[in-house]
Amino acid sequence: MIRDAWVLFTKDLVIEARTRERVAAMALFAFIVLVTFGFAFDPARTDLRPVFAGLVWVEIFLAGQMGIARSFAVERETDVLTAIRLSPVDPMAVICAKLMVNGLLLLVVEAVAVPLSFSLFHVPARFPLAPFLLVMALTTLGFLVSGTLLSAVSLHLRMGELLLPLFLFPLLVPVILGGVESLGFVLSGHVDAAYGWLRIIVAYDALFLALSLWLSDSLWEV
Amino acid sequence: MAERHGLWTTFRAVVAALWLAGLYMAFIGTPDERTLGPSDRILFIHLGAAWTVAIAYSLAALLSLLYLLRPQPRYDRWAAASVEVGTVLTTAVLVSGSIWAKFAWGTYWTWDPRLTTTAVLWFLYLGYLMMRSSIDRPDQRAKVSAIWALVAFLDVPIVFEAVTWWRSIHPEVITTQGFAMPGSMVVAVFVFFAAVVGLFIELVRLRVRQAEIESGIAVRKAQWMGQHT
Amino acid sequence: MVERVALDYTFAAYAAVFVILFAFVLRVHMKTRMLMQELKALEDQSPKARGRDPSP
Repeated sequence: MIRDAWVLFTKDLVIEARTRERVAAMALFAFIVLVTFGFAFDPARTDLRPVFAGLVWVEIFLAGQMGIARSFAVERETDVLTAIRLSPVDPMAVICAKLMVNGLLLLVVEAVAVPLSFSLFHVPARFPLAPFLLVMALTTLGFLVSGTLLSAVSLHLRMGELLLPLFLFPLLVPVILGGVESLGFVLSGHVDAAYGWLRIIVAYDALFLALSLWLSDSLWEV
Repeated sequence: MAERHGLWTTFRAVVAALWLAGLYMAFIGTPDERTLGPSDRILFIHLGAAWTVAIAYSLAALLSLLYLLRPQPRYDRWAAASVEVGTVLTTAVLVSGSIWAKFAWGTYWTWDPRLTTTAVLWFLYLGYLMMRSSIDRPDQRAKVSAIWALVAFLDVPIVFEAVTWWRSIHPEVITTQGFAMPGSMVVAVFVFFAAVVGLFIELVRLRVRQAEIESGIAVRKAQWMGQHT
Repeated sequence: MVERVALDYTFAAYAAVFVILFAFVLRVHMKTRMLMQELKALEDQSPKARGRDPSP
């Protein structure tokens, strides 16, 4: 299964490396959202520090959702989906491969969006590194897992890519709250308060990871 | 068949009687609450509907789980009807709660955990209904919506936990000491609860019947097409 | 005075709930009518109603 997942992962990676469609669109959109926030809130005259964590996550979630929505669409358009379904690949391997690809894409988006946000919103980037990375990783995992699950679901819908955010964002409420609050605490130096929130995010991550793997059979055969 | 029909007629009569009794008790038979006056009477229909919503979505999640384990169209029909009526009741809960909040707290909306969770619940299940309407093939629709009903249901406790961690001011009706209201009100609350549950059962049955007729028509159409091509 | 205002709110809340429930019942009723019409149309079209055998 791990070998199958790896093969599918490298396949998606090769497609992405040749076209760079998704990663370019996502990173650029994150940048555009950031600039739009800049116009809307005017960082030169307002202190954006209290809402900074929220702005960062909204950027990442909006840009991320756009890319994740496409994660299965590639297969459908090129009809690879049928081929994968016919081959003796474990459905769990397909989900794992997609999780890895989407995770990598989100990592790139964050590498672009987070440093840019700090500098464009004039927020001093002084924070303890380890808790910061932990918060980023766990929150991103929650978004990644539920986003990938729902993008597999939306594959079966008419206008699925359009409807995806409608399903995804209400589901993400715990992650949005947890990510914003814990990142805010880490940035203001209250690391202990951040750990209380990580409890909820970890519960969410575990639940949706388990659900994705358990439902992978059902997601596939419809 | 005739016997079952009679049974349902009796059931309907009981539900109607419960509604009348509930309304009587809510408006005439109970004392005013000390601090807020008659506005606490909103509570009867609000709580009745809210508890029924919990039943509706739990039932839908259970039926969806059953469908995923053993796909049978009737599980899907009951789950869908349950969500649909549950969502109508959620709307009623939100609206009645809002009106009460305007009187009691001076605002239609606060970001209290239960309110916020109910709103998220409402979005999640509106999503369920939208999902259903954008898939045509019945078996595909059943499977995808079963997955979503389960996912949404399991998400709700985490949403509640997260929002509670965030903030809280909702009045506690049920505390560890029992009910925080006079005995006559407790009776009225349960009569209303039974009345709303009765209405829920009746409406769900109606929608299930309708879905059965609908799929019957679809099958007949397919047969007809088969004969004429 | 407070009593009077409180009662207004109470009636507003109950009325709103009844309107929502009624709207749903109405929608279900309309759908039933549509289905019945469709059923009738199908029956009229069916070979039995036209009095001929469908099999060649």
